[in-house]
Parts: sequence; structure tokens; C-alpha cells
Amino acid sequence: MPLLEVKHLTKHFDVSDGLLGRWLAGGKTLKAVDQISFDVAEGKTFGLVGESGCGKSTTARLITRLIPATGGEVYFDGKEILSLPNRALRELRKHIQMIFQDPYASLNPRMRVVDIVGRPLTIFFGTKGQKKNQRVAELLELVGLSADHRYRYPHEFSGGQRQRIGIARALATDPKLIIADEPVSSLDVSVQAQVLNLLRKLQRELNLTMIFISHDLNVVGYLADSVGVMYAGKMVEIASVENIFKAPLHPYTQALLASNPTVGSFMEAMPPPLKGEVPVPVNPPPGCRLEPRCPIRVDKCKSIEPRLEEKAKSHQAACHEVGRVETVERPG
Amino acid sequence: MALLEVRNLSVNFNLRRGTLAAVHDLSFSLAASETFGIVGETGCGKSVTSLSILRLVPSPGEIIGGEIIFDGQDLLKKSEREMEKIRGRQISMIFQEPMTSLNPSLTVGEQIDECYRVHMGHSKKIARDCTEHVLNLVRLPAPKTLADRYPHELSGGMRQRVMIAMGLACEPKLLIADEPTTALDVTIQAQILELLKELQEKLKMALIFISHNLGVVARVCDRIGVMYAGSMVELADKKSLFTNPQHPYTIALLHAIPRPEMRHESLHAIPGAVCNLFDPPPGCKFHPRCTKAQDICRTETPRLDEKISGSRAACHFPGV
Repeated sequence: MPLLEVKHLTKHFDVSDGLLGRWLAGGKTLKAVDQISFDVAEGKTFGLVGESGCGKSTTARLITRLIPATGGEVYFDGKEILSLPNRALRELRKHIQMIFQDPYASLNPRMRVVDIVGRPLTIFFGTKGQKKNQRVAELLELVGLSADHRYRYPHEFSGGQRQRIGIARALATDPKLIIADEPVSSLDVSVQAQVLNLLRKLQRELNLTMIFISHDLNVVGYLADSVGVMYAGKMVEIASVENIFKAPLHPYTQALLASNPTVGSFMEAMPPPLKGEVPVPVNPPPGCRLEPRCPIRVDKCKSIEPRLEEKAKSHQAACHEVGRVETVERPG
Repeated sequence: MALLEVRNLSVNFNLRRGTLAAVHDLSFSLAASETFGIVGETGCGKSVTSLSILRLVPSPGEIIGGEIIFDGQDLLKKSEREMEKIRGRQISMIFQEPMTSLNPSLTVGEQIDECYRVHMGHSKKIARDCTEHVLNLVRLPAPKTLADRYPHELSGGMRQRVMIAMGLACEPKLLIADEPTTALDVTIQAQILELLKELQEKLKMALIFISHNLGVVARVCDRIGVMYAGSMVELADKKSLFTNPQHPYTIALLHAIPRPEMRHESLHAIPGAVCNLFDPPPGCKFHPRCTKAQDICRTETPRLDEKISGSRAACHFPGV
């Protein structure tokens, strides 16, 4: 049984222009996350990729119950968590922790490292004093910092070191699931490699389950076991990392891969990029959201929304034309 | 003859904590209609280098030495007045964040018109015609109506196209693009890269493309310089750089990029962090992080010399 099961998770934001707009124009709904489903098996890493505004961070916030969902179900360890009463959240959050993108904004500049990393211990377990000190020292060593760093303030650390502090804080409660939202996006390549190595090492040693959110396909490809690709609030493809990179089915995944600038591609001609821009899913039209930009669209894509279904073994895609993909020329 | 030749450029920032050598003894040259890439990590001096070429280094930064020969003339000897005629007219620049580099209180058209009116002395009406033409050139739809819109009404990709249009307005001989796609999503980035490359070939201008992303530079540039802690450590044509890198830093950078096919090995991270630029280590500035460092690296600064055909590197022990 998977540790985390997400079923038809949905988040709509009301973005009407005032009351009048709601009455007269019938309101505007931003479908930030629209009926997405995926599973994460224990001890595995699920990568969530997509461009800005596709709903990947909203998904993370929904699973951690930081914002209320509009619909859907999330099963963690077999228990539905979206319907849990607020007072049960403390217990839940022991098991689900987050690592944030910006290591400058996510650490309180007025707190010492021992208090930042130790705070979850105090809140969840009431650990204080010498015991807390001891545990923080262990955690810092676990993430490659030294116990002496406990009494310093965040500004004394570099970006990579701060991200390690953020990781230590997330690990403090011994969680089962870590949600990492763009944890290496603000780091330089050489430091990014250090943090990726650390995350992988921790995941193996502690048998962590991880949802790894990133816009960078290279990073996701390196760390994840399976990958979900999101576009404008919809999950468009889910497959193992090998299949996503070697045999992508959805035209959007193919375009993302073709647009991904890799060092290996330096001698190749650039593929024709996807035309147009990512839509904001406010009152989206009924068909497939990629339709206006899609190189392989057909008539029904405009009116009928494709469902995410199994197109090959353990490989789901939401596209009417997939399956006939062999006869269609791939972009790039 | 080279269009641009930077010789022994050094830029210091005099701060209360001390003097920071942001760029140190940097040299490179660029032929007309060539694309040259500068890559490096945060704080390596790539942006300061590009600002130096336009003499726009912000205070307390100061160009303390070197020459920047553009079209046969030393830009560092020009008066501020003369520089104003060169900026935007002969050398122009595109910045990373199109929202902060466009004026939010002027329409797109007004901002581009200004280039034509100031630099070419065109009338309002002719300037607007030119603006519509250049908006069309960067493939923005409906240039006439677009010119009357404000930057906040446009998406990130469209704003960056407006920035490019502005940069190209006076058909400069040299365009400097400082991380022009860093704030954009990958599919939009691919569009902008393709556009830049196509326009560069069409207008036959030289392009300096600055980025922290080796993959992006690989797609656009013919020749690439790698910077580390204010110095150029390797300068090579694209093929040599990616197939036969000479400097240990370049090699380490290439190995640090995660790739799905390497998912079963750990990444070669570069140990430690970039040296303190207030007090750089003696000798080669990379030696504290270098796996090949010997005694000579700690005392003698290596020169940027030709190591293999098509590639120069500043290292005592180049190659793999």
C-alpha cells in the first residue's frame, strides 16, 4: 500500500473582481489544482515538475493542510487527512514535514540555529534544555554541519548551509514524508550538487518518502523514482523516471524535455519551441488545457478534456492522441 | 580585427569591510557578429564585467585598471558625454528581470520611442513607426496596440521580448544579455533563446551572453569564457569546452550538473565554498577547492595560456 494516496485533489480560488463581478459575470474561478491523483510508495521519491503557476506548490500546501482543499481526498498511511479536525493536525505534522525553497526567507533571522532546529522538538514532544541541545547537535551532524554551529544565527551561513539547516529542522520530528518545494532552486550548481547528494543519502539512510517539487527536469530526473508532470492545474503524465525521460507520451512532457537546455545538447540544433504561453486556468475552457499550444491537437481536444489514464504499463498520460504517438512526429 | 577587446580589466569595490576585487586582470576579445558566453556562479564577476563595458559599474565600484577597446577606441578614456552616445546606440544591454528594468509608469511604446528620439533624433511619429517595426521583429503580436500597453499588462516572456526590442532598437554592433532568461520558464526560455540567436544572425551583431547555466550558454554561444572569483579561468570554443575541458573548475562544474542517467551515482560536488573575495588566497584562487592542487598552485597565479588547440586555461595542471 502506498504511504500517500492523492485522489481527485482540487483547489479553486475565487478571483472575481469584487461582489459585482461575482453577481454579474458569474464569478471567476482559478482552478489552481484540478482533480489530480497520484500515489507515493514508502521510501520512494515522487518528483513533481511543471512551470510557474502549474499548481505544484499549491499541491504541497494542500497535502500539508496549510490551505483547505476544495475537494478530493488524501490518504496518508491509510487514513484520510483532509477531513481531520484541526486539533488532529499536530499529530499529522509530526509525520509530514516541509523543506522550503528560499533558505533566506524560511529561517527566522532573530533565532539561533539551536532554536530553529529545536523548535519542532519543543512543540511536538516538549523536549527542552540539554536534551534538545543534544538532539540538535545530532541533527546538524546528520546534515553535514557541526555541533558548534548551534549557537550561530542564520546570517552567518551561506545559502547551501542554510538549506542544510532547513533540512535538519524538517528531520527533527523523524517524519515519514518530506515535501521539498524547490529546495535547490536558489543554489549555485556546485552547492546544489552537495545538497542533492545529502538529500539522497538521508533518504536512503532514514528510509524517507519524499515529494520533490522542482521546475528543473535535470534535478528531478536525478533524484526521483517516479515523476508527475503538471500543466495549468492538471496532472498530464505520471511515469517512472526512466519512462518520462526515454519515452515521454504527453506532448507537453515532450516539449518540456526538448526545451530543457542540457550540456549534452550543445551541438544539436534547437528544437522548435512550444508556441504561446502557459495559460492561467481561470474559468478554463472545457477541452485539454494544452490545446492552443499543442503540436498534435485534433478537433475533439477543444471540447473534450482528456482523462489521465494508463497508456502503457505503469505509465499514465492525459492525451487523446497518445497511443497513436508512434505515427506522430515528436517535437525535437 | 576584434570588435571588442578587454585587456587586463580590474574592478574593485571599496567597502567599509575592505576592498573587494570583483574582477581581477580579466582579458578577452570578441569579433564582430560573434556570440560569446560568460558563465560562472554567483559573485564570480560576470555582471560586473558587463557593466564595466558600458561604464555602468555602480558606486562604490571602481574600474582600477585595464583597457576596453571597442571599435578601435578605449571606452575607459571616454568622457561621460561620449559614453552616452555609445550606450544604447552602439552597445546595448538586456537585463535579467524585465519587470524591474522597464519603467512601470510609461507605456511600452513610449519607452522604445525614446531610443529612436534620443539616439537617432527621429520625430515622434517616425519613432513610433520604428517602434512598431522592432516590436514586430521580436515577434510580438499586434505591435500597434501593444505599444500602448503598460509593462504590468504583459507576461514575463512578453516583457523580455520588449526588452530585446529596446536593446535592438538602434541596431547596436554589440548586444550584452545578462541572464536574459533566468526568470523565465523553460518553454518560454526556449522561445527567447531561439529568438536571440535568430536576430543575432539576421542583424549581424556581436552578442555577449551571460548566464550561470552552462546548458543555456551551450545553446547560444560559439565561444565561452568560464569565470571564477573574478578571473577568467578558461576560454574556449564551445566544442572544446564541453568535450575536452581543461580547467579543474570547469570539469567540476560539468560533473556537478545532475542528469537522469547518472541517478545511480552521487554527484561530484565541489567541496567548500567560493573564496572570500576581500582576502583571496594567494596563487590560484581555486586551489583550496581543487583536487589537483600542488605547492605551486598555492604560490603562483597561473596565466590564461593555450593548453590545447582552441582552448586556453589558467591552470598549472590542466586537463583530466
